Amino acid sequence: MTVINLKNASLDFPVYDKECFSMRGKILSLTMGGIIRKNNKNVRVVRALDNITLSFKEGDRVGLIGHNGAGKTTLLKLMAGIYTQTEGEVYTSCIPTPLFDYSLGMDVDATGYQNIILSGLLRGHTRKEIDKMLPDIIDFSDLGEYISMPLRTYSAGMTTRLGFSISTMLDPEILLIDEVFGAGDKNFFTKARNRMKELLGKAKVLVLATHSSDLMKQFCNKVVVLNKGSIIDQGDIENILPKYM
Amino acid sequence: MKNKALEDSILSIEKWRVWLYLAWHGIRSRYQRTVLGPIWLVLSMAVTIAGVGTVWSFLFKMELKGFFPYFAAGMISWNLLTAIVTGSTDMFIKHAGMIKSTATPKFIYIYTFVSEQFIIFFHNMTIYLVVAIIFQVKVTIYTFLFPVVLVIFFLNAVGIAVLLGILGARFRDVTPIISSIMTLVFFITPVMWKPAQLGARSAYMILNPFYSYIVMIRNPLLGAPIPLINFIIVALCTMAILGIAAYFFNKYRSRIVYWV
Repeated sequence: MTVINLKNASLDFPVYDKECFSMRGKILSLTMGGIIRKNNKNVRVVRALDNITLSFKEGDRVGLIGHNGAGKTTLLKLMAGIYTQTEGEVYTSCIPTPLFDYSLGMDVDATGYQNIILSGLLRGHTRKEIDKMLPDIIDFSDLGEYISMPLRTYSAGMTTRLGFSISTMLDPEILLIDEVFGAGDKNFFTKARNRMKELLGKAKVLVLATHSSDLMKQFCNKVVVLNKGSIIDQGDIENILPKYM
Repeated sequence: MKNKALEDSILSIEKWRVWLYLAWHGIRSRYQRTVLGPIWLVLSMAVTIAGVGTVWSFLFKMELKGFFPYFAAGMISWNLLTAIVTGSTDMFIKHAGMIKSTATPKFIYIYTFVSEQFIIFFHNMTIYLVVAIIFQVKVTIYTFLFPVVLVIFFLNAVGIAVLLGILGARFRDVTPIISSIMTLVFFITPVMWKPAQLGARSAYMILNPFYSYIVMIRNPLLGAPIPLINFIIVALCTMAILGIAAYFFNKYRSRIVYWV
């Protein structure tokens, strides 16, 4: 069964500089007419993803590789439904669970505890279900008393720990991961890896963007290679990975 | 083509737990580390109404009993109206972090914003209740129009929030433009004064749509009827706002994430 399917999907990022963002640019282009107007009409765009065709089945564990700016994160965000494709089609069999930058999407003025509730509600859980999961999440995050402190008092590692604990408490069917193992101390790193293994047993599809070939060998069976927004190679890990890493 | 605005708005209603929580949380966090917390909302409004209401009624040589409830009801209504118009411009920008990292329906942010404004409004209504009891404002059949008016205001608030939210995210100049316009509108809309004071020129008041909106919500509070003409203007504006908002949303929904 196909879980994720992308057909000729492309994504353009509009680039807004000061002139484009402000009204002055628009108004000037109205009053001056002629050449400027013509130029301003086409907002400058960057083609972040170009003609991507992918199909992931149940059981696929995909590693995304490519240089910085190759479009790994953008592709994950497109699959997650955060971005909408400019052209082509994107299909996912259910709503994917993204594990991206944890500092995003959390309220820095709210306490860790409140952030757990908020994330739970956003994922469609009721207060009762969340209350049931709370002790586990708090326990896994190792935050102790900090759980009742506002997020702005947290270190980067603590925020990551909380974010990771929240996101992985649920049983995701599609898991999209963007370099999660950046922060957090060694102790948590081991814990996180174990949790990941557990999750992978349950998830139908995993897409992992990383620069680490160790991680990829451990978790993935397929590799997709991105370069400048296009797929340049894809296939089983044994065939592809040695060529690029 | 499917109507994305309708679909998104219904999907978001189902997630009412999220936006109600966000709304409460938004109000609470504004008064974080204050002793009185959200009571400040009501308190600052009460002080304004008591002070300005008393001075103004002396200034205009009007009877306190006639002017004070009028001013209190008008001021609280205006506060709701202006909060919706000025606040919606940075509604999406405030939630940039969430918009960029989760794929939730966008109306969640809109309902969060609108319910926040209405929660504040209901808090302020306690002031009016006290004023109404002190000055013995009569309850008439028109008083019962109030819930209907609230529904109309809610629809307008959602429409305005979509429109100005999208515009404000795209053009950052919209926020200062709107807030300076609303300061002006406050003085040309009869909140602190009565249309009758304009004399023969009071007929021109009808050209100011904000006037109709204020009449619409203030009159039931005072137990007075809503003139048909004001009702028609509000109805037409509501339809126009909702129509344009739906068009905007369908067209620009997927771009909001790049703008915030």
